[in-house]
Amino acid sequence: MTPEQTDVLMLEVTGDLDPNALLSLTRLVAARLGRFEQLKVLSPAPAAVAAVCAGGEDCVAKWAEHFDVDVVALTQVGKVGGTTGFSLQLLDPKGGSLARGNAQVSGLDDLNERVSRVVDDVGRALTTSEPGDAPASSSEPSGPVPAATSVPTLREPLLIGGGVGVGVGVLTALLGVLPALAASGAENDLKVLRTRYIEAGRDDQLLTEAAAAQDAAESARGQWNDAGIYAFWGGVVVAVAGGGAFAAALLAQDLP
Amino acid sequence: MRFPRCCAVVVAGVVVVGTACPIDGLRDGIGAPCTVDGDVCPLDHTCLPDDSASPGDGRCAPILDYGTCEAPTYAQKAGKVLDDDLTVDDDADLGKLEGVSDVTGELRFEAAGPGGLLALGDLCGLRGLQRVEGELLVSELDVTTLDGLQGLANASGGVVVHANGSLVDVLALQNLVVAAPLSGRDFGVIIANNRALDEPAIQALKDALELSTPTLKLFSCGNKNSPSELQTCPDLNDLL
Repeated sequence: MTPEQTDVLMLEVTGDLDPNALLSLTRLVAARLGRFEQLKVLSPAPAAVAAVCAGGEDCVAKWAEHFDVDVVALTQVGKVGGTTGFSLQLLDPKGGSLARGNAQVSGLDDLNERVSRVVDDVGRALTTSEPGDAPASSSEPSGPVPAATSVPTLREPLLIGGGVGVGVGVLTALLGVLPALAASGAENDLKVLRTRYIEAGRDDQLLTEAAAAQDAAESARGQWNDAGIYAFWGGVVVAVAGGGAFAAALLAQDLP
Repeated sequence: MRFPRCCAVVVAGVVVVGTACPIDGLRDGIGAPCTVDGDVCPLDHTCLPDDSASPGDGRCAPILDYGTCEAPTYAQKAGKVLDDDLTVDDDADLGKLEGVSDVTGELRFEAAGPGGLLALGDLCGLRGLQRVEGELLVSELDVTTLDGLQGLANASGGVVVHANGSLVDVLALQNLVVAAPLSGRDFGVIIANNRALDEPAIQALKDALELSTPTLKLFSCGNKNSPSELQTCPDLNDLL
C-alpha cells in the first residue's frame, strides 16, 4: 500500500552557474527527491519564482498556498573563487525550515555527486526513510522529473497525438482507397464478362451487365482520381507521422 | 493564422504523388457507352445499338470473330482517326489504316487503272475500323472475303462492294448499323458485279442485317446466280 505522500514544490535552482547547469541541477534535485516514496515532487516553477523567493518567507508561503503544497524545496548555488557552494532547504508553507543541507566542491566534476548526497540526506531527515530504487543517476541530471503532475509532459501528447494520428491516417487511407478497389473489382468483372460474352457467341444480357460494370468502374475511377487518391496518400502520411511520434514517445525514455 | 511550411510541403507532396498515379480509362471496352454515329469504341469492339437507351446510343461489344484474320490483342486501346479521304491502291496505303477506327472522309479501294486488279490479299489491316463518314467503296480487289471489316458499324456515306472477282463471302459486314444511302439512291449497301459471290452468301448478310438493323437496305445485282432480272446492274456509273 502506498504511504500518504507529501507534496513538494521544486523551485528552480538559482545561483552563479550558467542556465543549462542550473536546469540540470534542478532536475537532479527533483529526481533525487522523487526517489522517496513519501514525496510527490511537482514540476519546477519558473526561475523567476525562485529568484523572488530566495529572499523572503512571505514569498514561499505565497507559492506554497498557490500550488497547495506542504513543502517547498529552495536550492541555491554560488561560487567563491574556485569553490562552488550548494544549499538545499525544505521549507514549510510558512517559510519555516524542515530540513537543510549544503556542500562545497572545488570542481564542477564533483558537484552532481555531492548534490545527490545532500539531497538524500535532506530527504532522509524529512521523511525518516530511505530513498527507493527509482532511477536517478547523478551523472544524468537531465533525467525524468518524477511525479510531474502540474504541467503536461511532452511524452503524453506525443503518445496521444501519435495514436490518434495513426488511427485517423489509417481510416482516411482506407476510405480513400475504397474507390480504387471498387474500380479494380469492376475491371475484373469486365474481363470475366468479355470472356463469357465471346464464349456465348453474343448475349445481350451479358452486354447489359457489362454496361452496369462500366458505369460502376467509371464512377469509381472518378472518385479515386478526384478525391480518393489524395485521401489515401494523405492518410498514409498522417499514419506514418503518427506512428513515428508514438514510437518515439515509447522508445525515448528521456523525454520530459 | 500562418500555414506551417512543413505542412505545405507535405500537402504538396501528397498532391504530386496523387496526381502521378490516377487510374486511366483504358479498361476493357465491353459495355462501354458509344453512339453509332459518333463516339467509337476501343479497338477490337463494335458499337451495338442499345434498345433501352436513346436512339443512336449504343454499347461496345467485342468482335466475336474475325474470320480468316487473326484476332488483335488491343482490347483496351483507343483507335486513331484518319481525318481525310483515302484511296487505297497499294499495300502502303493499306498500312495507313492499321489501328484506325474512324475515317472522317471517303475510303475507296480501287485499282489504279481501268479494269485492273488491286492485289492486297486480305483486308485484315482494317480490323480496327468502326466508322467511315464518307462512302466506303471496295472495288476490284483480289480478296475472297471482307474479313477485317467486322468492326464496321457506321458507314455514313453508304457501302459499295463492286467488281471483286474472287469475293465469295461478305458476312464481315454483319455489324453494320448505319449505312446511309447516297444522294439519289435508295440503298445503303450495294453489292454488284462480284462474279464469284453467289446469292446464298449475300442472303446470309441480308439475314444478319435484318436481325440487327431492319431499316438498313441492301441491293445486289450482277453477282453469281443473281436473279435473271438482276443479272445486269441498272447503271454502273451511278453505283460508282
